[in-house]
Amino acid sequence: MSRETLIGKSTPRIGSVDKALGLAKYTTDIVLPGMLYGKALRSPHAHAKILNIDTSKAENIRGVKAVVTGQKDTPRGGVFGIIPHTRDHILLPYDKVRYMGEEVAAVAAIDEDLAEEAIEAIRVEYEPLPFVLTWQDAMKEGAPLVHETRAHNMAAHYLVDEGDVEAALRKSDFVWEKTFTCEVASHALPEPFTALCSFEPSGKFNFWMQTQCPFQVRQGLRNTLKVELSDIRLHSVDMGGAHGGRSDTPPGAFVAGLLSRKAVKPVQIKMSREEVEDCMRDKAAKVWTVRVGFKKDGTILGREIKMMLECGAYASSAIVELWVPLLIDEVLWRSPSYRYDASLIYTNKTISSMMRTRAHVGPMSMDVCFDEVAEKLGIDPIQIRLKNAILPNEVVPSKATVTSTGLSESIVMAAEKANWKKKKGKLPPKRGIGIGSGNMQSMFYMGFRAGSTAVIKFNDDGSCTVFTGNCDLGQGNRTMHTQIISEVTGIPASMIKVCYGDTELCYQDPGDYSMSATVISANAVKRAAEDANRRILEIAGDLLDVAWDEVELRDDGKYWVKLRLGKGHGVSLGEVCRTAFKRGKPIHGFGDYRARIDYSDFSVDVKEPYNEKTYGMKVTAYSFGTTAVEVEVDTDTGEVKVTDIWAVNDCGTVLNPMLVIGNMHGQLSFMLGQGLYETNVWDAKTGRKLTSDFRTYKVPTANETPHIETYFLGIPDPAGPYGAKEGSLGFGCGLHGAISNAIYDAVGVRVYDVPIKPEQVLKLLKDKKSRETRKKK
Amino acid sequence: MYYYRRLPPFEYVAPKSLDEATAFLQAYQTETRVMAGGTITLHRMKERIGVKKYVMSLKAIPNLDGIRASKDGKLSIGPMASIQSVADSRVVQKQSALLAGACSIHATPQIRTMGTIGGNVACNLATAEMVPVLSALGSQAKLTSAAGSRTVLVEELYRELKDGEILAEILVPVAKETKAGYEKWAMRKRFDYATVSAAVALSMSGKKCTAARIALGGVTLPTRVPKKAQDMLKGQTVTDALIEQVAEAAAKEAHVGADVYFTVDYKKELVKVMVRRAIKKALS
Amino acid sequence: MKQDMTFMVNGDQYSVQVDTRRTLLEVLRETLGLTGTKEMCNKGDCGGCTVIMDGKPILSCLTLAIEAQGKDIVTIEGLADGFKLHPIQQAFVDKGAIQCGYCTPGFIMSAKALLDKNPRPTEEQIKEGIANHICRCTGYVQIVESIQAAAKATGGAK
Repeated sequence: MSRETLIGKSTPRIGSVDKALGLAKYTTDIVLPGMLYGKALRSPHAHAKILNIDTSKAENIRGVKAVVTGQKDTPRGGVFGIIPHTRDHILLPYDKVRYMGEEVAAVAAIDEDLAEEAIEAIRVEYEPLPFVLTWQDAMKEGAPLVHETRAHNMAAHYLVDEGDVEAALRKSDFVWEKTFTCEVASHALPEPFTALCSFEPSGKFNFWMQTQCPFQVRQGLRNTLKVELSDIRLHSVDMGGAHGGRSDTPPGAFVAGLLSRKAVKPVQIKMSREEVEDCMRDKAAKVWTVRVGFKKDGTILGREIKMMLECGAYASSAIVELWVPLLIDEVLWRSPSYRYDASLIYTNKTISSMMRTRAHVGPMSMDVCFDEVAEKLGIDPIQIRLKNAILPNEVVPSKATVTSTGLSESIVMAAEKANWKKKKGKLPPKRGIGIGSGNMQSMFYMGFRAGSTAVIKFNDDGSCTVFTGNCDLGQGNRTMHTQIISEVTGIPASMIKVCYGDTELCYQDPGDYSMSATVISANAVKRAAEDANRRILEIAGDLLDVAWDEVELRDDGKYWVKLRLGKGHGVSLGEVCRTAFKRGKPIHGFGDYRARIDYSDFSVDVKEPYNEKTYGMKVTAYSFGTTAVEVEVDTDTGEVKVTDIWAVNDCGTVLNPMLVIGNMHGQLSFMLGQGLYETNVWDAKTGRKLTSDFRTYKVPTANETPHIETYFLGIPDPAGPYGAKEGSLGFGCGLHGAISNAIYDAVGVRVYDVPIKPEQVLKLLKDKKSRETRKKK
Repeated sequence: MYYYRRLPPFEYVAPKSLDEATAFLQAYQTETRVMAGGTITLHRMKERIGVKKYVMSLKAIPNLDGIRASKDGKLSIGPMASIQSVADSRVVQKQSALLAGACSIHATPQIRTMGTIGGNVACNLATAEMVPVLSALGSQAKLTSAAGSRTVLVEELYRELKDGEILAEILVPVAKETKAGYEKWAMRKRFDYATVSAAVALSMSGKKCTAARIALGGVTLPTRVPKKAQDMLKGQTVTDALIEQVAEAAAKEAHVGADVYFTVDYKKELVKVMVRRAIKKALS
Repeated sequence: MKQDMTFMVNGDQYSVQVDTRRTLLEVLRETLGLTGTKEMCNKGDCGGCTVIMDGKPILSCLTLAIEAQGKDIVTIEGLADGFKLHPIQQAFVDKGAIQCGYCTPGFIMSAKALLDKNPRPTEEQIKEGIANHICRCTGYVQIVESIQAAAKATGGAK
């Protein structure tokens, strides 16, 4: 034992050894005695009424143990939505289907071949309805309604309007306006969705499934299965990727629950890759129109943003994507007047949810804006950014305060590390450089669920287990929690275990939802460790006959009276714990942390986190950062290759550099994929998704990965544990702007849409060439 | 709508000789799917495409994976030779660097290890990257059936290979004076199959081209060999201007289909660029 | 249609009866309980199910189990000596190359096949060697570094 700090140390992720050995247990690996295999029958129509379902043939197949349909088995009134405003999703529908691939019935059989055979024996009568695949079509007068009660297919609307934007734009010397788009992206998670439910006849549903927020999922299952929260237990499992795509209550879990209850046996539903891509979650397509008014010197006077967001068949957690772009946008660049008007629109496509890349066209729009305006006004592109970059303790339009930011520092550092000044406009032909900034919140408003409670339990040898409702998706939360407990108590990491994400054993936690882990969950763990440590010191003090604050843990692993190391009598942690047991008060710790949310000045209903106009302190901490990129453009094919990235991360104190750097690489890879390669396409005639496998959905591989250098600013945040804040997302959200700027620097054409397609770049190059030839003539 | 994880039921047949195989095919040709490496067959069958009662594996037939220089100066490649083994073969590297090189950048290590050159050229899919390469080299395919054997050009396989026939051998002529080049364009260079590719083989006498073969990938099967374009080279001095004309002619001649990513126009543009680059590579 | 087959997996001989339509991946995971080999796409596009058969990397999802008759197979479970990790596994742990870990076994098996064939690969050769694999967490950088470190540890420094 030693008091050497673990904060800021690079240590391997806890759990890595099991994973390297192939012995980690993921949901897909779990087999229970007597387990049945479930399979869903899915809609062949993008939009249709369900008239009749005949399951008799399937039920008569030997080995089929249960068949469920919405009409017969879905509890009425059980509707899923992550907030009351968006309760729109009957997880096994009985009225109609709203996208191709939606669940209509399911079977459980003694083996999977049989289950596949059995669903083919179910006959469904549909009345096909006209469908809509784009928000433009969905909003037309007379367009088919995905949900009858939502006029114009408008799922939700959100508005922040501060100051008089129109007046500010009128007053401006120059107004810049552009529209940016990004297409539907997929999480493409490695582990295919799997839900295993074991129903105990006494009334409890045991679930093993991939989720990044078990308590949210439990809530959704309670609302749809119509049981008590205590009737549902989500067990802790290793998870093959999440990245935002495992935030909601999936129909697969609900259906597994229905089947398991009906068959009174464990039922596993394992999806095929195509099933996952068609029927789980995507990231919403966005159209982002921005108007920015500038003074001659480059100061922003006002900004207006209009965003259309396409959520697919159900609002799901895409509702969060409606306001997160605001949280990002309003915090990056100062704007005395500001208007953010965002609409969430239903379409008959795969349901959208959150994704780690979040609001990338937002940050992209401003980085493109700065470069274009700087060129027009003859200002240095770095200086125009610094002039408008948010500073610490500034209040943003929706009245939140930015408690810490290193945005300006990150811009300066990224430019310096990339040698931007020397390279801009001076690289060899077809090569260019650009920069872009981004940010992200560390946890935002979720009503009373925006907090975490952690408990620590000590054993009589001094080892301990912490219970947190947070999850470890692989990014290293277990490691972070362990480092923090070790730092607080001085106990070595090897004596600390983390029990996470089990809804029966742990207190409620937001889960890994909206980057809550570092600030919310870790602070709760830290407080629990402090509480336990205080009890340890009290008993140690008692045994040493001094007050608790006169005791300290020394290098030999014993508690000694301060300043009297080695003299007299020291007590070991084990002795302390055993004494506590004997006294009937075992060492334990309780820690709670609530997101710093303050609506007090604004009449907001805290119980309903969705409000058309939500003002106040909605976010606990913001991360920032800037990336600089160098690109190479093939002017024959229009292909863009990113060759180098320099990334500067303002994530507060860096708790474990190796792990954060790895997470940064992951974010850059996600951004690169969506910037250059990944896109989803639907067949306009049938409503079928055409990009449902890893061959057609083009995730970058090692060979697309550029040279990456990472840097930290290390500016501590007042709210985060030891000054840490979100570290894997915000810094990289400006990558698309950086790429667009670099392409412009390389070949003089400008892209506003992602993914940046070779065909589009080639077209722009040809247009430019013909313009230049015309000019010469 | 159905999503499958499992393969459908089928009967597995693994003949031990070509005779046994062709006899079985004669009896059950419409009910049998011939499988070489399995990367395409099993992939398709999981999607319930081309499912037949019998799957006939050629893996148990001995000596179908040989690679050797035949007496008449041709390279003889067994259809069951893995694409990786063709890439790694000293004989191929020596006699046709173009083929070895194209094999070495096909798909991924796993697909090259499992996939066979015979399966690749016989599948009639966009993944058949070896067809343009072998076609440009003027390669032939030997087809065997219960009725006997015959030899066709590789570029004709798509219409010549009939149910009941097995691709038994690939013969690559080796002309030492030939200059060859291969270019492939894909979004993910070392993972995706070519969106468009071009292979050229030129016989040169100084700066003059005496014979030329061009073959394309990513185009419709009948337009894999742009005859007009390749004829433009014959007997001509090869200049940059001529290369540009040939590339444009090839793009004009090629039929391409739009896919989820690329339009017809863009693919034609790619044909042009690939042909131009392949010719330049051949001459460099 | 069921068939008897015998094959070696991680040095042990197994005699099993399998349906001809079972893939090697299904038999390894479901019959033998070797769940370290992962299914991600089940169609050969992700590399997650990579195992080494007779010394070469193959996709077990596109291999019929019965065609592994008489073959020698190594899976992720066959690399370590008890708790003593194989140098590639150790490097993946030490360099932070494992996040969610679901793709990890596939990457490690490809890395093994690569280093067995080419003990001193360049960075480009490493990237080419793992071209079939998709990772959504790490962005590949620490994976490539791990394979470089493992090559160094096993004597093939470059």
